[in-house]
Amino acid sequence: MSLRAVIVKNILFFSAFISAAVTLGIFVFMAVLGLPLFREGLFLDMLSQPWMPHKNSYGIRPMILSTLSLSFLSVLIAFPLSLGCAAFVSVISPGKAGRFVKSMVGLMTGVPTVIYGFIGVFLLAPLVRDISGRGSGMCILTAAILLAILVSPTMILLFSSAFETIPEGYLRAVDALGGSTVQKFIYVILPHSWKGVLAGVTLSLGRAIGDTMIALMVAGNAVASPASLFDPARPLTSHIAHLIAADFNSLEFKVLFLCGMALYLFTLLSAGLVNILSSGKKKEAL
Amino acid sequence: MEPSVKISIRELSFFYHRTQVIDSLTCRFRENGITAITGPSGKGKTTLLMTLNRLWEDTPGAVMTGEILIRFKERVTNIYDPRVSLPWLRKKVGMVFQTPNPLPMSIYKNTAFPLMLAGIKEKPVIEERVRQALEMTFLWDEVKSRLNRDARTLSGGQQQRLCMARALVLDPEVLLLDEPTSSLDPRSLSMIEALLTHLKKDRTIIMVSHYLDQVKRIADQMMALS
Repeated sequence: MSLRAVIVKNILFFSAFISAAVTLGIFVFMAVLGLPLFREGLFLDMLSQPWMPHKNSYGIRPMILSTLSLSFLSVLIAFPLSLGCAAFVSVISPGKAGRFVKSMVGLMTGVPTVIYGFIGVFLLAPLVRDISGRGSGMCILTAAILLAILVSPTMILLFSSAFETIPEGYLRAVDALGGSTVQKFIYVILPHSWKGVLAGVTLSLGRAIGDTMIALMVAGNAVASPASLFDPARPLTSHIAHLIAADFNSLEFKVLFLCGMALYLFTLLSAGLVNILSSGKKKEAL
Repeated sequence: MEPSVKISIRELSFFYHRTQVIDSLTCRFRENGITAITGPSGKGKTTLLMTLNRLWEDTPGAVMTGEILIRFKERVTNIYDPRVSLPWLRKKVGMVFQTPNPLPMSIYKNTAFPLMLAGIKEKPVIEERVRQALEMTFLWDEVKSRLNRDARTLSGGQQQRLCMARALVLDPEVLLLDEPTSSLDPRSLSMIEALLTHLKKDRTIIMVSHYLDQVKRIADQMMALS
């Protein structure tokens, strides 16, 4: 092997090593800083107790519940819309109109989340306030709608690329048998691309869990477990972003690392699921 | 259009991105029997088939002029009349492709698929027609014990006979075949030829074929595109 090849190989190896190490390193960092919590046996208490600093209770149950309800609700809202949009783009109108919509969706992926936050604060929150007739309008529902808009491009693009991998022969067969476009979609395309659809949903869930800006700006910031759609909430991400404690030795501060670990695990789970799904897809292609 | 004529093509021209593949073709196909279309590659044989069930219409850059009339049992129809519905036309004019293209579902569901598309829901009716279609293509005895298996587990020849059964289950008046035996072993080939000889008695079959011996064996008329 020439010297150049050796150098290039080592550079590539080093880059790969760094990316893997950083991912792992962050987890170790959080684990080490959160270690005192484990040592003091407070771990499970923290996960299950409410956040009441004045009573010396620093549990993150409300944040975990907020994160889960917010992310699942947003995916629930985004799913039918994205499925319809992807079907339009790839199946029903793949020509000019479809290409135009797809390029708009591509643009949407580049919109900074803070812009969605703005729209939430000035447009959506007042509307939700008027409809619900209570609170500031900054609540789970408002944040979930915005998060749905945020994650829908991911879903649409993944769905539509799954729809477009259907072998031409299948589509021809349905056409020649007198199937309509809708029948083609329901009976052949959708059953054939469920893995891609599931991967899109899971990846979007990961994005929704990890988003901070919308959670921070429009979810309402209340540290109570949300009981209805119109309740304000503070998800894990926004709780960390607040960095409330000044005393590095306080429990209040240490709990942030627990939040980080919980988030990390949630996203790790969804990323792992996507990996399993896409490796299954490769096998089938062979 | 005389009573013995099933399909009448007038002044048919076809272009793909301004390249002309068919140049003002006028011809007639008799009712029942097999018409073989032969000729070198690129002369529009498959395209001609696809003008008869309008399957070319989704192809980008394709343009067709001319007129095609088919004498269906109900009436003589200009198949490019805007009032003609595509699902209706394609139920009357079935098509089987060069490479077998079973759908990713069971043998039974593949055969029943056109019935489902047509909105037929009665289970006994579907079961009966599936059995008839599979019997017609000599497939029933081979698959009756494994109807719920994925159709893609069948051999190439069986897959093609399944596609035939699928095209026949709606009892089309016209059957378009695009080199249906080119990818098959001799045994499947002779089975399909036997099937076609049986079918041509009460069906109009238009078949693209490269094999002159096959054309001689089963075709009633021949049309060379050159």
